[in-house]
Amino acid sequence: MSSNRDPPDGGGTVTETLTTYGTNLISNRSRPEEENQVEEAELKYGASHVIHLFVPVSLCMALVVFTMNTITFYSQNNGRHLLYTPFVKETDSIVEKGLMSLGNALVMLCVVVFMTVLLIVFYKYKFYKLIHGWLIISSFLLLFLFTTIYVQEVLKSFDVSPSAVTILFALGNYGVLGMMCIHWKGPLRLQQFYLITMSALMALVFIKYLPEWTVWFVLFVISVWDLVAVLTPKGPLRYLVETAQERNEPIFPALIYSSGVLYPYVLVTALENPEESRTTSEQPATTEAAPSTSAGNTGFAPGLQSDSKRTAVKRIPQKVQVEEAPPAARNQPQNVRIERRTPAVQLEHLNYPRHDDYQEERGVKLGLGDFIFYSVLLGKASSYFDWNTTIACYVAILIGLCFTLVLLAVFKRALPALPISIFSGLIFYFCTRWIITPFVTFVSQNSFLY
Amino acid sequence: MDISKLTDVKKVDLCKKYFLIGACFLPLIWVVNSFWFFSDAFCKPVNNHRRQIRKYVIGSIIGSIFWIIVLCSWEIFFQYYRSQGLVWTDFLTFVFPTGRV
Repeated sequence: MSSNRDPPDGGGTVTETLTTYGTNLISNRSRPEEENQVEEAELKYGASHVIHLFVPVSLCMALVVFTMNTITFYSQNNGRHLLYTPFVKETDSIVEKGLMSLGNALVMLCVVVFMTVLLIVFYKYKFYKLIHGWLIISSFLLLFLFTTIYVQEVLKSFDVSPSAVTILFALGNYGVLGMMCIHWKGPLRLQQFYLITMSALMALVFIKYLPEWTVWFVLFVISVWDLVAVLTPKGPLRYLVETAQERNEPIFPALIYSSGVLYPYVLVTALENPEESRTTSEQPATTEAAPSTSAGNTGFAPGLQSDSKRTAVKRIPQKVQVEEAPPAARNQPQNVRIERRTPAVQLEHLNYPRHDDYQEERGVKLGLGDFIFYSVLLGKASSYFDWNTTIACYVAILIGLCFTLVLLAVFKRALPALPISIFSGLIFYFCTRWIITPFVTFVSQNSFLY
Repeated sequence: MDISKLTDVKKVDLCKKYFLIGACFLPLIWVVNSFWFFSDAFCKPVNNHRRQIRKYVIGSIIGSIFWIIVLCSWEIFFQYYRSQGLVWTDFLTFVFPTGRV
């Protein structure tokens, strides 16, 4: 078996024993056949997870589009801007606008790079508590502050006015439940719901506070950064992946969305002796603590599950400027990994008893940064109230996601999920906006077709 | 997380923790608790652990219903007096929608 498919740790030697045992069992059959079957099973397994990822991505995007269309608050700038997009002078000259947007995008990129490096330094020197604290603060802010603002705008839009007592009570409940679901234990669906809503909120904040042209430049630049950071040998995210792999640990309570398919870790552990199985049954404690990360790291970057959003302290936007640090999720979680259940697939035929205690979540995981940027793209496209562009971008993003997941199944390593989708989304957006829509308008006005 | 893979002892522990957390003026936690552990409490064969889970789930359900009634009655009371235009209701209003044109 290739090293990618090593079963998760239960201890180094045990792993090796099991691996060897597994291999021995299979070597009886003809190798290429068995390999083919395994490949096929993996691809099918991967394909079902493509579908599993479509739903949350679509839901997040739908939420953003719906909000953009019904609540005008998020499509207006109100003259405020983020600290990280300093060039906001009003001009009519295209060249100036272009240069300013490029400047803004580069400033954002620098901030993102800085945050990534900071995170890697923390991770390298094992300041886990600091990272945990950072995550907790950022999700706290998102859950309470941003949600309050959102609820306020929704109430204004729908012309409803409950009492402050009710609203604050409800928001407090919502926030506490969110913290519990994300950082501790909670029903899977609820956790997924919270992650989706947080991503949507984040995307809405971006759409609101980034100037017009800057959004497109930022998307482009961040996708390029993602590509570079994950794939180049010296890339920071790759370093993160490899370090996490070496250490064999999932650390952060992930702000990574998992399709959440749980498989009993099963067949490999069933072959262990009873002492081992008792020790591995302690592991679920850590699994539970980090529900959307896999306890054992099947050769893929579990550390990337740590990739999470970093939001620094955000001041209440009453002043002229809204300060906000971009989430780290932009850089890190833009990777998609698939956890292999290869050992289970191979040994399943042999009907080993299941060891139910040891759980592991397997499945495709997509970082929240990916959700956010897809939603930003689509939300911005829909803010011009042209359904042609919105739907074209949506289809482009999903196709890009499919393609990325296919590549994932082929290459079997952490891949950046942003570039393909964002590039195709951008191409489709501009083509549709400048070519298709005028064409369709002209044709329908002159009654050629419609 | 998927509770179907947990041992009974852990389930009881989780249910109890959710129940206790919900007791701190957090009825939403009780609602979630009752939904999450409902099948475990009522749709499965009974043993000692299940009895405990059943106890907590019933407690959560009763607590949620109580809080829902309290909140609804407060809201009705508030809206009634707000529609009459009393001043104290203005202090407790969360947002003043300007209506649509």
